[in-house]
Amino acid sequence: VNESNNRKEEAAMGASRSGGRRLRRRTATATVLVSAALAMAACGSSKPAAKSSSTSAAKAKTAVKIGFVVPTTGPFAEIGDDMVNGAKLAASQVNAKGGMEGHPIDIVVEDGKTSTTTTVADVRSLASSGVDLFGGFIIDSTCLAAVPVLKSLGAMGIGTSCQSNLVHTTDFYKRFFNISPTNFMLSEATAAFVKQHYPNVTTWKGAMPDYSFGHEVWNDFRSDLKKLQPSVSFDKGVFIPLTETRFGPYVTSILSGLPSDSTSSTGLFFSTFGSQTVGLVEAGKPVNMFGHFRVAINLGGSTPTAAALKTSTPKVWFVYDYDNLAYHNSVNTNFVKTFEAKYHGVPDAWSEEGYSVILAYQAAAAKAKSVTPAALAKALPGLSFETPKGPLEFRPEDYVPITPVTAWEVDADPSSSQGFKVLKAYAIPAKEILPPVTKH
Amino acid sequence: VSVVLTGISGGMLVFLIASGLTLIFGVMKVVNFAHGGYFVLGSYFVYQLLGGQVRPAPLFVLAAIGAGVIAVAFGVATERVVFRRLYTLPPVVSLLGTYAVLLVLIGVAEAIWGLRPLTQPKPSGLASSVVVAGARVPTYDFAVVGFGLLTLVALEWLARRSRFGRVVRAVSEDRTMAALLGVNVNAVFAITFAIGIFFAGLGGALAAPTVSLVPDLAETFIIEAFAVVIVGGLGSIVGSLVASLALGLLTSLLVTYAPSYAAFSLYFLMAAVLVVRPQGLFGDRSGLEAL
Repeated sequence: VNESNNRKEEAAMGASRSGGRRLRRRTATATVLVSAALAMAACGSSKPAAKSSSTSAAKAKTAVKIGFVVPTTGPFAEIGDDMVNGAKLAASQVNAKGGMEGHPIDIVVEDGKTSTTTTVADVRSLASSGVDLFGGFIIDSTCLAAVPVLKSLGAMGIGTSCQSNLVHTTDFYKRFFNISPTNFMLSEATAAFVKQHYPNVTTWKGAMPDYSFGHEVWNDFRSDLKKLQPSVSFDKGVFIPLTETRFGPYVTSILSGLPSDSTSSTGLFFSTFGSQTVGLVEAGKPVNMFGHFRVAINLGGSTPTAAALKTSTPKVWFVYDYDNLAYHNSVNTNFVKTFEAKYHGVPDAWSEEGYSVILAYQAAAAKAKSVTPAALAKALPGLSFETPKGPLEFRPEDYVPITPVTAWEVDADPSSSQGFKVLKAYAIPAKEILPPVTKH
Repeated sequence: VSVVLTGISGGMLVFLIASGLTLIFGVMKVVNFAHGGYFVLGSYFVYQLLGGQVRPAPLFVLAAIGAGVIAVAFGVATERVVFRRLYTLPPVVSLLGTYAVLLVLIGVAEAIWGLRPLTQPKPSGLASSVVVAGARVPTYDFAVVGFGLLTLVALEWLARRSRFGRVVRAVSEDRTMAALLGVNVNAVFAITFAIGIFFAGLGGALAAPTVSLVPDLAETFIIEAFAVVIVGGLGSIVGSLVASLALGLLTSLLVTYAPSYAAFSLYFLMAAVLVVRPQGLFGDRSGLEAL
């Protein structure tokens, strides 16, 4: 290869010798033209100049690193990627306005997979390189593993999808927050939604991922709905291991023992997400799994699942953190517009979570006039700041995020370029679904 | 009925990958972790060939065979570059070497198709279900079972009835003596490896409509395939089939009737068989010694 390259270089040099003078003249002319164009651009437009000066201001102080520990490989890598995209977009916008108290934000990503041991190792590794502010953590077990390590390091974290109720109760740490609604809130919102929209469904079946999130939301959903509709009954819950790739047996189990009038009396509650839901839907398609139920509600599901399923998307309600159509405010409009411009796609819940984590840090820094973990964690509780979902506040007593839950219905649409469409989208207000306060 | 048929179908998919694995181990005595990588490539190849669209069943079958053939091309390349250097090395080195190849293949899939889950719909004509003894069973499951049985017949014929099979058995029993008698051992290894990889690629292609395609698909299947190869008896194709079906049935039964134990089905099966027969259902001690 080197020999070949050398020959190419020699040939190029030969050519340049023959017309070297002409080439130098052209280069000089081009340099003058480019310089002139740059000078004119700088003089003719005040906006780029302002942006440039604010960026310079952001770079005047050392960068503040925010470590994002999310899966960037494995079945849930798309979730991690989306969160990082949202965070990077927010960081670029904050940096353009001068950074966090003058410090530009530098997002540092580590692949935590969905493993507790990898997550802990990543947190330690980032901390050893000077990172003391963290974001990310996509499943409850990784959050719960990360919290004690952050505590031992005195670091601060704002989780993206750390919905476990335990983060606000037994595993509470005064420097750890979570941006998305808790499992309690998601379940409570789902139960309230069911009571309002599907009061005639008398029996519910469940299919959940086999880890704390799946168990928590199934238990919470049952107890919440039972309180609202005492006559409702629940069939067995089917728990699917996170590593499962073949869903045929689970479809059989979900459909076993259905009553003959299941299309009018029975609902399917499932809380799988990402590739698990895709696999479950594909395995259920030949036996028309979703057609056996009056309604299917996917707690924790999100639009990327429909994007992967395209025209295989069943008619289903997602109940989770965010859909862009449910919120009408300037922050959301700007978020969606800039995200689409940068990544050529509509932002999903995970991107919004990553984005809002950075907004939270920014708001805390503005109040604290500092970027140390201690000052930020002290400033954040009770502080209301704007997000694409509207104002968000961490409840001072237990840091429960006071933020709405979103319900949106999707269905296949062969005429759409995506293969599916969003039929309706609602925001379920936070005040109706908050858990009791836990004092620490 | 649906529980049993779902279990058999799931078991057959595992058998398709395990058959190639046990063939390669039986002849070459290489524990090939990279096998899962060819399985994943096969599933992505069929997706690529069909564009992720619903296609008629004959076209799907052709694409699945094509996916197996393309996987063989990858397999032959890695056999020449990597595996050939592992044949004479201690098992632990070959194990690490093949695992490294697995990681590279997963990386290749990730680089080409990305990390987002992709789907390959079932072919038209096999996308619905039929009622068997009152239970609704996907027609695609029958196709998978049919392919599994064809694989069994083809491999058994190849191993026991064909001239190549006799040569393979000779190399498997004593490669030095076979070489002294004029057998081109390297060529036998290469052909055996290619056949094994073909079934991995074909298995991946047939599994594609039943799973969401992500690069890490390799890991789940390869672990199950290894388990059934060990339970069935190292190097025994019939043993792999029996163990695959047993695993599929046990998983399906536990998922339906005792869901909290379903995640342990693999370990239940291994413990139940290996305590009684450490060499596996149809294996002999030579496999264990080779390992």
